[in-house]
Amino acid sequence: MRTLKPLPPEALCKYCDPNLFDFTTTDELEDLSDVIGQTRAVDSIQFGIGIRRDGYNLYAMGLPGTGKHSIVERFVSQQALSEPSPSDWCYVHNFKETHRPTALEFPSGMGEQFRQDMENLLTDLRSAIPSTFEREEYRVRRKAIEEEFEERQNEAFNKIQEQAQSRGLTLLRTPTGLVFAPYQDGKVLSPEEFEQLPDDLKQKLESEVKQLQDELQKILHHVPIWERELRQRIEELNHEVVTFVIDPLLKEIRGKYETLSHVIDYLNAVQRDVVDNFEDFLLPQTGPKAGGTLPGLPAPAPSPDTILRRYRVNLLVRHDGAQGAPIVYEDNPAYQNLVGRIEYMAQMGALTTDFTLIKPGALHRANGGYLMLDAHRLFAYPFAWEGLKRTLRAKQIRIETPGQMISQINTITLEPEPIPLNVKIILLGDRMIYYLLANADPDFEELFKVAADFDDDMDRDPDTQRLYAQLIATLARKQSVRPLERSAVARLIDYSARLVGDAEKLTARMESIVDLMQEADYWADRDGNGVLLAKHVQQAIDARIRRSNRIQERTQEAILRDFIRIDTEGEVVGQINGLSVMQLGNFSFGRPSRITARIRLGRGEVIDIEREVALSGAIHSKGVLILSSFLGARYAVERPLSLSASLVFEQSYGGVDGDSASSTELYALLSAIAEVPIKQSFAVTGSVDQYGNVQVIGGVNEKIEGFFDVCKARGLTGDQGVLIPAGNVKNLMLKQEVIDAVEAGQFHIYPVEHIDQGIELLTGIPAGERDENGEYPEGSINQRVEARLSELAEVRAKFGKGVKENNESSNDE
Amino acid sequence: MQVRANLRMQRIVVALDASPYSRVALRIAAELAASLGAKLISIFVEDATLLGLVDLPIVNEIDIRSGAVRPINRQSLEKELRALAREVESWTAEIAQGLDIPWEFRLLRGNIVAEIIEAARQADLISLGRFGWSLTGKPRRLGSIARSVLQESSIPTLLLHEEIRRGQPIMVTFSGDEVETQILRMAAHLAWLYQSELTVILQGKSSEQMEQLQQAAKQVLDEWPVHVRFRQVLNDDELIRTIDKIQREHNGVLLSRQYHPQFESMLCALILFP
Repeated sequence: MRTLKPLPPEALCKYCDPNLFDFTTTDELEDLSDVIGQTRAVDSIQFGIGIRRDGYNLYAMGLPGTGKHSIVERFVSQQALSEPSPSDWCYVHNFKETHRPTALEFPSGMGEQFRQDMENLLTDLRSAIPSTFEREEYRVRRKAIEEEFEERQNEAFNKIQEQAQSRGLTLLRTPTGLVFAPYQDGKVLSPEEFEQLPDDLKQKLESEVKQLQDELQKILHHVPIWERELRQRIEELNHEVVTFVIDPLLKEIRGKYETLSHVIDYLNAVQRDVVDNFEDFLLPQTGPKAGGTLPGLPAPAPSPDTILRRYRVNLLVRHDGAQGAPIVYEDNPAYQNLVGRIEYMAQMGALTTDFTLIKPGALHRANGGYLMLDAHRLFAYPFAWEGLKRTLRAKQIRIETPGQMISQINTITLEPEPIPLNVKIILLGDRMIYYLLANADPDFEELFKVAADFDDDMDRDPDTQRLYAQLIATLARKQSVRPLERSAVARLIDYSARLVGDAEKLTARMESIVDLMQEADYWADRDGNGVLLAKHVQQAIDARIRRSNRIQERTQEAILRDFIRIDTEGEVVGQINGLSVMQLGNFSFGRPSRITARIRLGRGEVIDIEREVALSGAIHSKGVLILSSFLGARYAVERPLSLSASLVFEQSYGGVDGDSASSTELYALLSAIAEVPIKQSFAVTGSVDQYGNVQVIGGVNEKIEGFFDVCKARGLTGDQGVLIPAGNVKNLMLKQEVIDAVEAGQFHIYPVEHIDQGIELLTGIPAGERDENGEYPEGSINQRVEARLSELAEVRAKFGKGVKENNESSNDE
Repeated sequence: MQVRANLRMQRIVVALDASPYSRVALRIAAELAASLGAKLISIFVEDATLLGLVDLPIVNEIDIRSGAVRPINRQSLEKELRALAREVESWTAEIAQGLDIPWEFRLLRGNIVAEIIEAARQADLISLGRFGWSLTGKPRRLGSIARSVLQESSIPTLLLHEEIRRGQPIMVTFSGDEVETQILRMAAHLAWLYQSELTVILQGKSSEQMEQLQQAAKQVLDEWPVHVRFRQVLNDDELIRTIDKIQREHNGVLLSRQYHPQFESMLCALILFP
């Protein structure tokens, strides 16, 4: 086995060379017009907004800050410009079914004109109708009709009165009726006078009275018929007069909208309604005084303004002078903000509403175009997702209150006529929501057939770095950040690579780059420098770390003060420095942890103490099982693995997960079995497979720096270093301090491919390979492990036998 | 107030019969009483003639709405008349308390005209609905009671069938003597009360006489802040035509010493000074 060499300094970080760029500051660069590093997403977006089929809505997914919104908006606005501006929509009163307001469609921009026309019509009618009724012609005609009927009635009564008088009777009025009384010389006869009349005259009068009563009854039966006729005649007159007023006014409006048959239908309905209800226009213009009513008294009569609201137009969606299809981003996608809502007015303690209180939602505004929604927010509101789906499936916007669905709200409400929907929805969100929906919601796949998956990172090569610089220049101008010197750009690119933890990648989450740029701009401003330099970027990075590294400092302090025991020199059997990463918000750092292993005679179980107390996750447990399998398969194929080992993360009280410590644990275990001490000047990371190969782990940079910081604080000895999986070398983007130390030979980073390489380094003793007889060389680690295990197996066999004999003899007794 | 000084009234009597016209008469009488500081006395007369009918064997009552015939009976008739009386009393109370004026209600029994004349003897003005209960609909002639009262009473009589509204024209005939001067004052007071324009119709035989009349009227009217127009007529025919012409625009109130049958159908209110 070849001895492992530490990595050269140049392998530890792939710095971006400022000389790659041929500009001095970003001012010289033009704006980047293309999207970089998101070809898959861009292709999906173009497909998604280009295809005009049902269900081809778009879900743009990716990490926050990858520019989903701006990229989608950019392509959508290009597309929308070439599309026609959609219809305007109005809600108007439905004269047949008042609780179902009618929706009227108008060519783009015409809705406002119609609203104005109706408003003017109303104003005209409010002055024209009363003045018509006040005019002399009307009064004379009405009076003529009334007099005709009065005449008819009076004639009938006068006639009967005359008849009565000619027969010595008169007609008198009582509080509730009429009577015929005997009458002589202008006076009603008293009972005594009547008594004195001759009998035949009395009889005659009595029969006359009967006759006249019959006549009078006939007349009285006619009175209601006359009254009804009178009402009809006056009604006819009124209709004629109102029709005369409204006809010319409506004719002008009809002319403008003659191609829109539903509008003409509406105008006809308006005409009928005005004619039927012209009295509403005759009410005094001023309403009742507000607030004058006392509880218990009847409500004041509604004001004319309230009554005449039914002729108004609620212009729901208007596109005055708009070009192209609308693009709407609803950043508060609550149910009612999407499908619209019906507002209420409090009137005498009750809530009332009408069609003028219908308010549009984002779907109305985006109808005929594009609606962008944030998936996360959409799911934060009850009913929003269900409402959106239902609307998309039905292809029409129906305004309903969620309250109606879940409870009985005792208010008058409306069922506005649904408006046909033709919109492309673009949901912006993270992948988790996408996959959850795809899994759990059968409608989702049907309605969102296009996914635009935004990459988290992009390849890093000279070409992309140059484009990246141009992107930085564009963003800097957009954010009014001062121009960046090329070294600053290079430093930003380094930071970008460090963010993704990969020397060969750059982050696509431009938001964090913009943030850093703005922070660096602050420092440049403090410096009074017109150009942003590399040192400002570095200052921003340092300040950012400084702001969030309190826990890191406390942890290191605890190590340096030996509260947390970490050795960085000397040798100990069964003890090793592991490395873990702590994530706090968006700041992560590495910290060393002591891992120890103890063994004794047993049945081959490796006890993971973390797991026993439920302080470890499943992946950690898996790592431990893999390493025990490796142990058995390698050293105890033909014998039972007769040890019991226990592994522990010392002074870990929080819990661990991940398998990045499995190689570390294996080293500690081998050391414990072979009784060979491990150098404490090393820290180790890497997972291991069943064959002892060391595999990549995450957070390699933080881990290395975490151990380095502890060693540096104690003083670098030149022996210290970290063992990392060879596969992680590409991820190295270490800080300058580490690189300097490596350059000076004070610190070492070893790329390990196999457990054997690692154990050699850690113990200074060859691992050993099996010779042709299948034996490990004497004194090698592997030989010692194997020998120890076989020793344990024998002890166990012997022990087992003894037990068995004892048992047998006891049975004999 | 100066307005009251020349136009003192202590009692205004209003005769009520529970018809809508008499309610109008009550309201206007109350408004006048309030503006003149007079007491409002409302009277209701239980008609003795009607009560006498119950003992006549051949008399039956025909219901005005249904036409049903039923025997007339003292108990129910009295009950009905009491109910009407209570109703007009409550109208009076409501209106008088609303205007905060002293009031009194008198329930009388006997011949209606005689009782009204008797009650009006101590009054300064009597207010009547121009028509009583008509048989049906709106009558066009002066009611018989109103006619009789007008013929027999000697005090100013206000005849109404509609409310006087603000701004309705007030007209008055003027020919110069003391009584007519008092009528002119009354007209000016009404014009002031209802914020109306006052038209003074001067009736004289020559233009000089009319000029004198106008001067005299102006002197009287000086006390009232009202807008006045003058018209001149030579005879009664011209008078009727002039009033008719003004009436075509807006029906209004006429104050006159003389009664012409033509007035009846034109005006909403008529005040006559017999």
